[in-house]
Order: sequence, then C-alpha cells, then structure tokens
Amino acid sequence: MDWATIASVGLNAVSSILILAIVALGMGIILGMMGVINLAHGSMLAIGAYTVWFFQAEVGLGYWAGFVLAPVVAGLFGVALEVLIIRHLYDRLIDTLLATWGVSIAVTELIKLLIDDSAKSVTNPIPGNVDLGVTTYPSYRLFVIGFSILLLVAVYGAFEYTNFGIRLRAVLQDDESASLLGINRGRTYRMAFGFGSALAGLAGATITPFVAVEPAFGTNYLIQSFLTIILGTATTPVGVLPGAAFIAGLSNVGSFVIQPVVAQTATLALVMAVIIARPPIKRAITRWRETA
Amino acid sequence: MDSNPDRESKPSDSTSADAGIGTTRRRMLKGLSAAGVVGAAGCTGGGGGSSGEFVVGANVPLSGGNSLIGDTMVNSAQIAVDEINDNGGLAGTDVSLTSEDNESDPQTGVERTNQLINQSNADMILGPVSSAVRNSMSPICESNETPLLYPTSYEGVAAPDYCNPYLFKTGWVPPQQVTPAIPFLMEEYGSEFYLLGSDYLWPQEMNAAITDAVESNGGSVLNEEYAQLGTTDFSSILVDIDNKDPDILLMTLVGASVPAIQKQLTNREMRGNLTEVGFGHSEPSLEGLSQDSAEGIVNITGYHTNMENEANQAFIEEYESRHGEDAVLGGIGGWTYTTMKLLETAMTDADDASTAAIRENLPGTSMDSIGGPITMSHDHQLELSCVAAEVNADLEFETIESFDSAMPSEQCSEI
Amino acid sequence: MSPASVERRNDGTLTVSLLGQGVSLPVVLKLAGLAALLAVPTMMGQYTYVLTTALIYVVFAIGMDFVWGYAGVMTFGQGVFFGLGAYVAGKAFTENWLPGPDLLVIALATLVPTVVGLALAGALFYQRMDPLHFAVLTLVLAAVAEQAATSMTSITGGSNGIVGIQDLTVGAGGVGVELGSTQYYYFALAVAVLAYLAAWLMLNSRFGTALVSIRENERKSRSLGYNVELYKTLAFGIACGFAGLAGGLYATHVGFISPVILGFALSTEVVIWVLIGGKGTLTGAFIGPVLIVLLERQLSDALLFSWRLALAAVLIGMVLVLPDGIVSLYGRIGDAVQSRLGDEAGAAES
Repeated sequence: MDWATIASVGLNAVSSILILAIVALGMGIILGMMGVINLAHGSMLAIGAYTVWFFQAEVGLGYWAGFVLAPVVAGLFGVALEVLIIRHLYDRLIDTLLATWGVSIAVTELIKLLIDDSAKSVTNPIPGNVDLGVTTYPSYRLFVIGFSILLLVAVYGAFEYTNFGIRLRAVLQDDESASLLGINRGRTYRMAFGFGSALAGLAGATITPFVAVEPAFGTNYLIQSFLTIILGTATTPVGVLPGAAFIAGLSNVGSFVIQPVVAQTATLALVMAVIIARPPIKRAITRWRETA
Repeated sequence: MDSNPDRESKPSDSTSADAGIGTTRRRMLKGLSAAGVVGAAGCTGGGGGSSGEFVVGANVPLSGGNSLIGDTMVNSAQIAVDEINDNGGLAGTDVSLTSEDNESDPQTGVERTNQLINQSNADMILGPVSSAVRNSMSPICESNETPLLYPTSYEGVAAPDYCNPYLFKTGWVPPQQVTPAIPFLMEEYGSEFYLLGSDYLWPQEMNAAITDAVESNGGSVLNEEYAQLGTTDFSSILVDIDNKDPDILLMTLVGASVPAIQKQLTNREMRGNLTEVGFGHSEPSLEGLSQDSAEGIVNITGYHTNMENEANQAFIEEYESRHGEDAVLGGIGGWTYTTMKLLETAMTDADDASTAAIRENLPGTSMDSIGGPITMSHDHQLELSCVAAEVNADLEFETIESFDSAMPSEQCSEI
Repeated sequence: MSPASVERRNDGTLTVSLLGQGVSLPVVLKLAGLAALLAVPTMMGQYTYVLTTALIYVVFAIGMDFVWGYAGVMTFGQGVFFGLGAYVAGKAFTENWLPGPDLLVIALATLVPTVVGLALAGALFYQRMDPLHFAVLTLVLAAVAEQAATSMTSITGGSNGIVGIQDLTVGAGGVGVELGSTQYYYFALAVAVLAYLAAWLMLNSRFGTALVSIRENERKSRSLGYNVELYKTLAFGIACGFAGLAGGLYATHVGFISPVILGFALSTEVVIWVLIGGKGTLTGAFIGPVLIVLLERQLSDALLFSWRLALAAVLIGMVLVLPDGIVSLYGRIGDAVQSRLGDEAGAAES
C-alpha cells in the first residue's frame, strides 16, 4: 500500500468521523439534557439533505441557499417535535423511544408522499481535486473536513462563552439547581432540541454532494450516533470525538481492508462487546485501584 | 423440450391494433367462443379469476431503490394488457392487471406472491426485477402451479431456479449479453477489467461468467469487489479502483448505488481514465444525472428505448402519449411489454387461458418484438440478440454494435 | 332480571347470562372472537393466508407482551429471536438435521432462541444495566444480527436467504398430515390459543405476580426479597421462546426466510402491535397483530396516502393519548356501562 492510498483512506476516515461527531453531538445534547433518546434524529439529517436538494433542484437557487437553510428547517422541526410530542412524555421517558420512532417513520413516509421514493442527486458545489503532494483529494471533501472542524470549534465556543451555551450547560449539569437560579427549563429544553436537530440537519446538508438523497437518508447515522454516545460522553464537542473516531474510523478503514458488509458488521459487533464488557471492566479497575 | 413445429411465427400485427386479417380472425373467435368462455370460466378454471377474467399479478418493486423500474413495468404491462383486450383477450378471456410492491426485498416478494395468488386470484405472476426476489418466489409459484414470467436480464443457467417448470424467462442471459460483448469491449476499450457489483445473487453469478469470458479472451480481471446492496458510499472502493487503474470498470450495481457511483466518479475526476460498463445502468437508474456523470456509459442490452423498428416506434408513441414525452422507460420496462405480447402471441390458438395451456403453448413461440426477433426456446429461456449501447449527450442510449443471438446449452430435463 | 342481561358482580366485572350461567363478559367476547376466527376459511376464504401469518405473529406478540407488558422490560430486538427460530427451522428442514417428526424441528426452533436469550439477558441484567441502554442495545443487536446474517453467506445464504422450506407435517412415527393452507390456518390458530393459555397460566402464578411487582417498583421488589435479575431473565427467556416458536412456524408457512426478519423492522413492528392492542393484557397481543395485518391488507390499496404513514400517526397518537392500547377501551366502556347499571339499580331501588 502506498502513501497516496493511505492518505486518501485516512482523509476519508477523518471526514466521516467529523460528520458523525456533529450528528452524535446533536443527539447527545438532547439525551444528556432531557434523558430522551430521539429516534427521529436520523430524520433531521434527511430534512437537512432534502432542503439542500429542494433549493438547488426545484427552486434553482444553487447549493449554498439550501445549505444555510438546512439547519434552520431541521431546527424548527426539532422545536416543533419537542413542543407537540416530547413535552408530554417527560414523566414517562421510555415512551419517547416509541413516539420518536413513530415520528421517524412518519417523516420517511411524508417524504415519499410529498416528493417521491427515488434517490435524488445534489450537484457538487466545489468540484475538482486538490493536489496535496502525497495524493490528490476531492476539493469538496476537504471543505467538509475544514467546515466540520470550524463548526465543532464554534459549538465549543458557544458552550463556553455565550449565555445560550452557559444555560445549556447548566441545565445539562444539574437542571434543578439551574431552575432555582432562574433558568427557564422548558425554554432551554426546546432550544436544546432545536439546536441538536439543527446540527443534524447541517450534517445532512454537508454530505449531500456525495451521498444520494433518499427517504431513508439518516438511518445509518442514527445507529452510529447511538453507539457513539453510548461509547463516550457525547454532550461536548470534545467528548464526542473518541466515540465517533472509533466507530466511523473503524468502519471506514475496515471497508477498505475487507468487504464493506463485513466491516460494518464487525464494527457493530465490536461496539456491542465493548458496551457489554465495560461495566465489569470498570468495576475491576475500581477494585484494583482500591486495593493498590 | 424442442420447439413445436406447429407453432410458426405469428405475424407482428399482435403489436399493433390496426392489423388486417389477424385481428378480424381473433374478433370472430372471441364472438364464437364468448358463450363458451362464460360457460367454461366457472368450471375448468381457464381464466381462473372469480369474474372469468385472467388476472395478471405484477410483483414488482414500487418502492426502494428500484421503484422507477417497477413503475415502468406496471405502465408497460398495462399497455400490453389493453392491447390484448382490444385484440380479443387471451384465448378469448379478458385480462386484468393487479400489482403489488415487493420493495426489492425477497421476503416481501414472497409474501406478495402468496397474496397475489391466494387473495387476488392471480393466474400468472409477472416480474420481479431482482434475481434474489425471483429465486425466492419461484418455489412458491411452483407449489401453487402458477406461471411466473420473468422479464429481467439475469444470470442464466447459474440461477438456482433455472429449471423450475413454472418459470418462463425472457430476459437476456450471459451467452447473449456477456459472451459476444467481452471481445468487443476488449477491442474498443482495453483488456484490464475491474468488476464491481452489489452484494447479492445476480452480480455474484454474472461476475463468474464475466471472469470466464475475460480470461478466455486473454484479458485480466484486476479485482472483484462487492458493495452492500443499495449503498451510496463508494469512497474506499473508488480509492482502490483509482489505484488499480483498469481500462474498463464493469459494474453490476443496482438501485441507488448507480447514480451514487456515477456522481462520485465524476467528483473524483476518474471518468476520463476508464470506460464504465454498467449492466444495471439503465435509463431509470441514470435518471437525474448530469451529462458530465452519464455520457459515455456503455450497457449491453436486449432492448433500449431508442431502438429503431416499427414495433418499438408504436410502443414508444403509446407510452409517451400516456406518460408524457419525458417519461422514463428502460430495458426492463420495455421487456415487460414484450413478455406480455409474447404470451398473447403464444395463446392465439389456445383453447383457454389455463396454466396448462400456457405451459404448452409458450415454448416455441416466436415474434418480432420491440427489441427485434425473439423465440421462446428450450428450458423456457428466450432466444434473442443483444446490442452494445452508449449514453449520448442527450442522456439516451444509442446502439454502437449489434451481436448475434445465442442460447445457453440445454440443461433441464424436467421442463 | 332478564335472561340475557349484563350484570355486575361484586368485584366489578361484568357478566352475561349464558345458558343459565353467569359468564364474565370478557370471556364471552373472547369466545366470540375465537368463533369468528374459526369461521374464516369457510366464510372469508381469501383472508386465510394472511390471517395465518397474523396468528403466527400473535404467538410472537404474546411473548413480547410477557416481557414488556408484564415484566416491564422494554426490548427493541425480539426480531433477532424470531429470526433465529426461523433460521434454525429453515436450515433443519432443508438440510435434514433431525430425523423423526417435523414438530421436533419446531421444538428446536423454540429452544435455541430461549437459551440464547437467557444467556444474553442474564449477562446484561446481572450487570444492572440501565433500562434505556438495554433497550437501545437490543435495537443495535437487531441491526447487527441482520448485517451478520447478510454477510455470513455460507451459513445463512446471505441476502439470498433460504428457499424451499417444506410444508409442515404434523404427526409422528411415519403417520402424519401435511398441512395445506387451510389446515395450516387451523394449526396456527391452535398454537396461538395454546400460547395464550400457557402465558395466562404462567402469569396467574406467583411468577406472574412477581413480574408485575418488579414492573411497578423494582427497588421495592428487591427489598421484598425478590431476585429481580432472575425473574427478569426468565421472563426474557420465555419471550424469546415464544419468538422462536413463531419464527419456526413462519419459516414453514411462508417457505422462505432472509436476514430482514432478524432486523429492527420486525422487532419494532411487534412492539407496535402490542402497544396498539394493549400492553399488559395478553388479549391485546392477540388483537394487535390480527387487527393491524387485516387493516394493512384492506387499507393499503384504498388509502390514497401510505399505510405506513397512517400506522406511524396511530403509533404517535396512541403513545400520547391511549398508551394502554385498544383493550383499555374495553375498560372505559365497561366503566360507562357500569355507571349506567348503577343508575338503573339506583332507580329500581328507589
């Protein structure tokens, strides 16, 4: 294997990891804040992707119009979801699994109904390749990598330095104390839902030039996000990276070395093994620490 | 089973409603036998539908990756059914079409087949597209003694259900599609092949046939790779293809994978370095692609919409008048029409439209179809000839080479 | 008191006078439903095939209600055990694993998923895994199982599946009846009824009481001395047994299986059936699949928009408004009837 191939595969893995990190962060914020596992999170990606397609193919405004609007549309949808459905289920959180699953089916079917079933394509806004010396790499993918890093940094900055971020973190940490401090919990929940969904919508928009836009667009990311947030802490831009790196990195590199189908299966199986084995290992480590 | 010498070629007026004596003769037959049909329908089960109709159960993908193809199949079948009814029906029995969505999934395909036969009283099943779906449906059709007419190109004698006595196969097979085409491709484009298919039955068997043909012609297969059925992520695979630098990328991808890989090949500026040959790259699968991503793709097919013959002109005219000038139609859709017309031709002198009559009359039938002359030869496999076609600047196929007709050798003792 | 009247017993249940005996109304309704099902092949013949599938799903749903409705364990991956049973049966039949009667294969199809389920649940419950994590893990398990079955082509046939699974022959020692479609319907109905009765017996024992107590308050049950992990594991194992049995029957009914039955599509469908029918009622597990399968066949042609959209809307609506399912409507109607009876009784007394 030569350096050009290693570089290409490596860059592919990096872009996949970053996208997954953004998606998982969106889901992790919602889970961390409200204890809700949003099975409709994949639909947010689809909504973002279809927004891009719509503004490019149907309205004719080009790629970037939809790109900017995608997180807005997805975010609004997330807020609507919280207000109409999730809000009524805070006393029975486990039912949110069922309700959000229903929403994800409904969104897929609505897309099939209002648009159609087939895969749509979005034209690449930054065609061509860049000569990186060791290899040539598609320009758009480089943009994806750069943009994702900037986005994660921006989210980090928002969390640390803006009122919005501080409120979010306060409720994430301890929502009872936060409400005692005057933070409106309900409004913060809504904002968190909107924010998490907007992140997913933006991620969906970003990958449209190289992934076909179809009704079941976000399903794969839904599963990978779960695994990411279970593997690590997905409530901060930094905390989400190790999990995302493990999952997206493994399946990307794996697909290159072995059959893609086998690589996917192996990744999922490995993660399950980690989830199962982690608590006893943690306990063993704690016990070892205590005796040492 | 050898061709029945009494079953001569039928005149091509079966494809046009404005024929002369043939139609009149059929109309007379219908008038004479009308009373007989009404009386017989309840008893012998010829045209076993509860109303004395012959029910065609279309089992096609109407959702999922192949949904555009499924739509073309239903549209084409409907045109054929309407023509058959105009011509007096199938052995004098009126024909109706009912369709079910198999979602390109074998499990669903089997359940829909059972529903078509048991609930909708289908007298024959038309379809599907996917070889995996067909292979799961054949035993069901056999145990229910219902003919299954399969219009899609497929893997030929390597198919596990090839010798199923209730299965009639009109799609093109490797001796027609692969054997003559490989020398042509090698002469035109080069001798190093990279094979890429979706991970299921048809691509797996096709690649075996292709590898044989390539190697026996002195070419080489650099790699044989499979992508998950319906996947749209080819980033790792494309890196490998770029590395291996083949002359020809021969693809047996289907569904959403087709537009996805074309876009990604374009994005990576790899299209200029190789020639794409795609057996699943039909008009519906290329729908929505730009000229950049699609022009120059080669397919080896028994039918494409730009074929120049009288029957096809009439058919395309009718299709466009019903579905618009920009309507999508491809090889499988057109061949669904052909399959029904072949059945009509076969049943012209049949006593009734029963399963037994179909199994007796279909083998040996010949006609001039919208894709040229065809004959239902041994082993319930259609004999036909393929062409090499290239996507032009208008994103339509144009024939660049014609091949002779061929047939696999006889295999099945029980048919 | 008129001969065929509805009365109220002291404990609140409604009864109907039937042949001079007071039989509880729910039982009467169930018997009526059973009679309707028995009449299907003769009265509504074209539904025989699809209702056979529905009855097999009923067996599946009964197990799901057992572990979710009664033991309170949410699991999104029961399809894995259904599929496991189906594959065991499919391979056992097509590769002739077992000599002797076909029903032995069905027994094996029931046993293997039970053992796997017990092992898996035991490992996870004894670790005190968070229920939300457990639910998501079962969803992931379903995804992994489907992918694994698709790639392990040599064992499972991959995405091409296993074809040509034979019809079931019921009998032993060389004497038996090969089940055609009508006969299979009655066989499936019999199995569904037996499954219902078996579940009912288990739930009306101390085991069942323990499960309900654990569902209501796990901590309190533990302090009362119940071995919570053991009970939950057993309940899960039983659910897997029902799933495997249903899977084995499915394989011989449809004659073809492929990896999709292991995945989360079927796993979440069974949750929906039990939810809509009414979880924690067993009857709901009977009603849910039959109702939904019938409605799907009827409405998917008639509806202008998609059936799945309607189902999703119903799912969301039910979670929000009627989380205890259709069977709970009976309770509400019963209350309404009862208050009317109370008025009448009051009026009669005065």
